[in-house]
Formats: sequence, structure tokens, C-alpha cells
Amino acid sequence: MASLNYLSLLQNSLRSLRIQREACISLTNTSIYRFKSTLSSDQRDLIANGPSLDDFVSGNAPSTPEELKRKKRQRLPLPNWLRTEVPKGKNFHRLKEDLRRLKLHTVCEEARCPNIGECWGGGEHQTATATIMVLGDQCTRGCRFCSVKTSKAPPPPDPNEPVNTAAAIASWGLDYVVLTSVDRDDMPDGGAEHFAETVRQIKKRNSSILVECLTPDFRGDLKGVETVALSGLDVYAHNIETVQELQWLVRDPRANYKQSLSVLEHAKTVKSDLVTKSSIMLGMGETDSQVLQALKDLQSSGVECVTLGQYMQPTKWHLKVKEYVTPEKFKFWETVGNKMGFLYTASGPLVRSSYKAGEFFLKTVLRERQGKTAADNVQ
Amino acid sequence: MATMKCLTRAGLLVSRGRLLSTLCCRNIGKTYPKTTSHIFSQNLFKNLQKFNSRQFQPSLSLSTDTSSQKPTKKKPRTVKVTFVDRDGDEITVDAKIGDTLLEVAKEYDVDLEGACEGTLSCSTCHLIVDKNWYEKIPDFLTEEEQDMLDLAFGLTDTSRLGCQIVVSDAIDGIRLKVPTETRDIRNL
Repeated sequence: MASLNYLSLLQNSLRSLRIQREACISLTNTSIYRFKSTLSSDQRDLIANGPSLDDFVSGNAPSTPEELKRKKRQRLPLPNWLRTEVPKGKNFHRLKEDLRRLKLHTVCEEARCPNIGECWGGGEHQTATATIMVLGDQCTRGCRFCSVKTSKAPPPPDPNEPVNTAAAIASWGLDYVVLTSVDRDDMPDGGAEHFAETVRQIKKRNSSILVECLTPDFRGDLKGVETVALSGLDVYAHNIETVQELQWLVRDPRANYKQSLSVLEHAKTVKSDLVTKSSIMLGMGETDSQVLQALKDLQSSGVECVTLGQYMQPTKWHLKVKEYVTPEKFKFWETVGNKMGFLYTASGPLVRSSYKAGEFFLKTVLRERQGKTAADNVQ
Repeated sequence: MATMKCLTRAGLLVSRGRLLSTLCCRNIGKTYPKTTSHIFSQNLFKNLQKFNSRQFQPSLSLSTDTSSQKPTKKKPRTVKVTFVDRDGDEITVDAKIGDTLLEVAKEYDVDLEGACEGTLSCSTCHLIVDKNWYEKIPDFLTEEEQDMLDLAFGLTDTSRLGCQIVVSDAIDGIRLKVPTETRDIRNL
């Protein structure tokens, strides 16, 4: 008898839970949160029945020659296409002075980017640009590919940083700017509010500037993702860094593949006209099918822009390069990305997430999209 | 002790002099195009040496043998340490006493990373110690190290961080494994 009573109790509680859940769903169906996938059935069919690696390969995919693969106990020399000029020039030094004066950090310096001379120096047709790193220069995570300083307890972020960053960017007169940050697992919101405030300050000073943010994953806290996504930025970027099979080796254990994909999905859910972007490093020992699968996963998560670059060992304390992928192979991945239907696939040995991010193409796309949303709003 | 101090200070001065002369030589071509840097450096170094020898009279009471100018360098004591790397290859090395295992791995090109450079802020130098050696490590497992280890991929009961274990005689012959991919329940 007692057991029968217990069983009925259990059934009742399950029933009530089910009713509650259904009530929740019906209540929230009208809100911006959705429990179902945002892809249409046609899109899902396309991805499921779409091209596989064989369609692209057919025996013609370039492979890395043996001399560009690292063998045990041997040093793998840097190929000539990765050798860059020593940074110098008026723009370079002026930018450096500006940054030091305002106590700003850049990922360009902290992560030892090889393109620093080119981006900071500006070209004939481009203005000098830098990717400012907010929330300080000390990260709470230690990933094996990144040379940004790692600390268990970094100092609290500078409260003037959003204003200083916005002032610096306004003084440089840029029309496309990229912001990024370190991981701050020691802060309750992961630094999301500080990041969002920086974006708001930039937009306040210049509402026509296009802002791209390369964000952390906020430890999976989607509220943080939402805070940044709704701060007024135009491109939401978050990197998966490598293929799923190498996440354990390359990234800090607090970061993972599914978490990163959920960040990208959520940003798109919260603001559907956001352009989402992600990035992969090659040369860490991944296979072609793994990279293709990663690209497919990104596409399923609604990501529109992808960048692929060569991993380069920043210091002796970090992962060694497994192979130097040839420029031809990078071109191959660019073709694959374009065929898969990404809005923009930037692929090259020196390409990084924010390298030439403000290219004419992207700017055109964004302005077009903004024009469309404005037209919709008017109607 | 005092004599050792004198000797090292003299050595420093001479090396500083050498550095100074090299630095000067780099720019000399620009200001004095007719001077050859080679002659200039020789003269500069000779003058510096004279200056140094006048200022310092190190008492070489260490050895009465005045023919040997340089003190003999003591070879550092080493112990055997075996690493099993991610491919399963075993590498036995002579680890210097006083180095951390992370430094030893770097010296012998073992694939072990140290993203935070040994400041106990990450878990990239995670090593799995052989069961019979785990208890013999004299470096006590602090709470800070345990906190960082808790995050590590592939954690075992005999895991330690390589930057926290200092090489000593007590761990002569130790075997360590660099963790590699296993089926982790977190399914990263």
C-alpha cells in the first residue's frame, strides 16, 4: 500500500512538473527566448544532406609536404611566407604612445601577433588600426597557444577604461574597430558589463563606427553573452580556436567546444541581425575531415564569417607547431568556406580573427543589413 | 665568500666593459666613418681592462696556483628523470638539482607547456606521476596547486603540476607521464 501511495505521489509530481514546463514554454513563446532551433527545416536539410569532404577533395586537396611537418627532436624552421618585417615607422610609434598614455592594452602586443607592423603601421590605403584588449592584460585562464599573461587573481579592471578606449578610438578616426578582452573568471559577470560599457561609449562618440567584439565565453553564462550582444555592436565574434578533437590540448579546461558554439548561437538568438564570426587555427595536428566538421558545426550555429590562420608558437612555454600549412591549402579552405555558403571566409597563414576585419566587403554587408532593418522599422 | 664576491665582481666589470665596447662599436661607424670599429674596440677594451685592474685587486687566496686565471666551473649535480610524452615515447634525462620539472622538460625539448610560466595560475604543466613515486616527492601538495589541478584534463590520483616539483636526490629515477587524450566525461 505504502509503495502504491509513493508511486502515485511520484506520478503526480511528474505530472505537475510537466504542466509547469508546458506553461513556461507557452509563456515564453512570446518572448525573445526560443527553445527550438532558429534554422528553418530547409536550412537543416541543406546542412545534413549537403556536401561532404569528398565533394571538395576528389583527390585534389593540397597536402602539407613532409619538410613542413615537425619531426621528433627536430626544430621546424619558419617558412618564408610567415616571415614578417620588423615593425617601425611614424604610425607605429604614435599608436604605441597613445596606448601607453591612456594605459590601454592590445592583443597585438600581448599575444605577439606577427601582423603588428602591418596593422599598426597602416598601409598606403588603410589607416593604422589596433585591436584593443579590455579588462586588463592578465587572463585567468592558461591556454596552451596564447601568450597573454596568466594570473589567478588579476587586478580589478580600470573603471576609466571604457571611456579611455572610446577616446582613443575616436581620436584615431577609424570607421571599423575590433575590441577583445581577456577571460575574467574572477568577476561575477565575467566582465560582460565592462565590455558592453566600452562598446556603448564608442558608439556614443561616433554612432557610425562599426564595432566588432571578440568576446570570451563567460564560462557559459548566456546572460553575459546577451549583455554584450545588446550593447550596440555590429559583429559578434567568439573563437572555437581549433577542432573538437584537439580542444583538450589547445584550450584551457574551462573552455570547450560546445560552450563556445552555444555562445555564438545565443548571440544570434538574442539579436538576429548580428553578424557572428569565429576563427580556427591550423597546424596543430588536425585532419581535413576534422576541420570540415568544425566548419559545418559553425554553420549550424548560425556563424556567418570564418577566419582560418596558421598557429605560430609565441614563446618557448607554449605548444610547438605541428605543421606549417601551405598557402595553397589555405586557399583550398577558402574555397570550401565559400562553397559552404559562409558570408565571408578569410583564410591565410597570417590571417587572424581581426586581421583586415573591416574589409570593404564586410562593411558593405553590414551597411546593407542596417539599411534593411531601418527600412523595416519605418514600415 | 669575500674572495668569491671579488672575483665575480671583477668578472662583471670585465664583461660590462666588453658589452660597452660592443655597444659603442655598433654606432661608431656612423659618427666616425673613417675609424675602423675593430681598432676602436680593441683600444677601448684595453683601456677598460687597465681601469678595472687598477680599481680591483682581487685576492686570489682560493688557489696559490697563479697560472690558472679562471676558477674551475663546478658541474651541476644531476639525477635521472624519465618523461613519457604524449606519443608514448620514453625520454630519460639528466635533470639539474634545483630546477623545476617544467624547466627540465623545456631544456630537453619534452612537449610540456607552461602557459603561466610557473606561477600556479593554470594547469598546462600537468604531469601524471608514477604510482610508486608519488609519495616520495618532497614538495608538499598545497591547496593552490590542488585548486589548479582540479581544472586539469585527465586528472588522476597521482597528478602533480610540473612547475611545483623541484628536482632533488629524493626523486632520482622518477617516471612521469605527460597526459594525453583520454575519454573525459566532460566530452570537451
